[in-house]
Amino acid sequence: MSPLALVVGSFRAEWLKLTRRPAVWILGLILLFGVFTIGYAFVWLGILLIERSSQGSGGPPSGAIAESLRAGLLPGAMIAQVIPLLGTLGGPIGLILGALTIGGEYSWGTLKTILTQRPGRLALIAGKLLALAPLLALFSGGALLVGLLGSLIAAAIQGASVAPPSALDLLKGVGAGWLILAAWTAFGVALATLFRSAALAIGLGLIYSLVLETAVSGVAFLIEQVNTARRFLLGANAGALASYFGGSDSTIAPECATLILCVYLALFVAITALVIRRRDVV
Amino acid sequence: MPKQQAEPYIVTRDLTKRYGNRAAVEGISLTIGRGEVYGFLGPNGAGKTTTLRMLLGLIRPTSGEATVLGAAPGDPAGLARVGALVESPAFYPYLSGRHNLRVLARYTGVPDGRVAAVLATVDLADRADDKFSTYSLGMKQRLGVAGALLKDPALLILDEPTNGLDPRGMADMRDLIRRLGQGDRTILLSSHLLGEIEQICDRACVIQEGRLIAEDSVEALRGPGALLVRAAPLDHAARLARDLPGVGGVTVADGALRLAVAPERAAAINAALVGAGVAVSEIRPIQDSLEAVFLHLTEDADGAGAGPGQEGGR
Repeated sequence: MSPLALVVGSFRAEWLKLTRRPAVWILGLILLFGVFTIGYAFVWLGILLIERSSQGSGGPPSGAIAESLRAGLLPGAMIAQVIPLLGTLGGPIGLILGALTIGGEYSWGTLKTILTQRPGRLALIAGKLLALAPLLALFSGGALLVGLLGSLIAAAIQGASVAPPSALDLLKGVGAGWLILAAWTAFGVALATLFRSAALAIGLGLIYSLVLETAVSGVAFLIEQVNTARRFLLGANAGALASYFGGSDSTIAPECATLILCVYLALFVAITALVIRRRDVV
Repeated sequence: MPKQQAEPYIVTRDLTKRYGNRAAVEGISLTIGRGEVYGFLGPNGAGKTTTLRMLLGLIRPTSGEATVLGAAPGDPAGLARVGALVESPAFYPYLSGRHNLRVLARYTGVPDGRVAAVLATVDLADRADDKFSTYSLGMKQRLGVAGALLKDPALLILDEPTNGLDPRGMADMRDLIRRLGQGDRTILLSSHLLGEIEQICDRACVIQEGRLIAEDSVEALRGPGALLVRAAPLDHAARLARDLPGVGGVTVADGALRLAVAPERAAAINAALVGAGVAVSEIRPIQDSLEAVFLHLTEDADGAGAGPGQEGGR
């Protein structure tokens, strides 16, 4: 078998494992459920509450806020509504997915089973990462599909236009969502490889994203050097790219955020490949 | 019969693995040929699994070298013809036995159709669609062997394949290994169970504290044999026996003589003793069990602090 055939075989094996693993689909469903509830159901509920409170108080209706929220729910604004959510939900989902993908091999001892079959270490990790790529595209595309569903429902209720965004914008949205998910997933894969454990990788990854990055962001406006460093953090750049699609301003340009996320992705892949290739499987 | 002269499938030279100052394996040199069923015998923690892991490329030796089917350990070209079950069988608990094997088949590059064949070989077809997590230990071991057989390997490496099995399961597994070892397939069987090696293997080595302390055919390891003689008067018989031609030594135990002599000499010894007025009530060939040999070898090695690569074969 050629090296390419070994990678293809490894990809097919990994795809079978991923698509038959309940945890993978649970993570996907959590993401889609999060997009629908946070991006549409809660916003619609908010609109209803705003309108009710303005009627009850007898004061002028909060028309501007409600109208803005209603407009955000329409199909034309779907990308702006969904991609920022991938910026926040995508981090932990991607991190957990990546950590489970390789951490399970260590906890079940299946890494030795695979490596004694044939593929070789680099073909194994290449197949694993290549199998994650279309899965993450499914997650990203699925999130936009759920956004489309939510926005069509909102448009039908409002009797508003159902015109969706252009195909190019949709493609950009899927691509941005994929990149955000991929960078975090690769982070999870690298951590689980380094620590030979899914649980530790998830714990450390969440501490990084929820505690460390938040703390850095908290003091960034006080200390210039910290602010500069913050601009290179994974979460900050994922958030910046997501914000761009959401129409919010960010101190990090979208092109710069895209580039930095690509660098993180490459770096995590390289660390994983290096460790898998060099380290004994005990 | 030993087939050591055949094409070598596994060759190691001074294979050593150290963790810090501790040597898990030290200076192991082996040559295992095509068609051999070779036993890798040693107590728990002797370094058997570490050696197998090095042969499969899972861990790198600190020094020394090895080739497996002419390739470096872990090389996909060599692994294409190697099937292995190292320690406990490890599979994906959320997949069925069949799907677990399909996963392995894809890594290996063998068609999915081969899965049904190996499931039948290990007698697991009936439970193939049940999840691995629901399998008994015996079924898990059999699935592990099935995974090792997917490639129809020229070399099969089995590490303690009967570990944790009940007596019936152990007997079934040994039958299976015997069947698999027929023909040109080479089997490297690691075990701490002496009876297992004795029943299955052509040749074996004994490893202790990471060092090879003996290597030979199982028959040779057990020694040339001896004769047990019950006679009266015993003291007189013992004195006579010591002077008989071909007798290497005489020991008295449990009211009988143990003569270190080729068993074929039984008739001549019987005649000599009876001719000298000794009443012989029983004379029969006996042979040391591998267990006795193993205990003797490992006690010697403990006592002498055997050096790396020290051979104790007879």
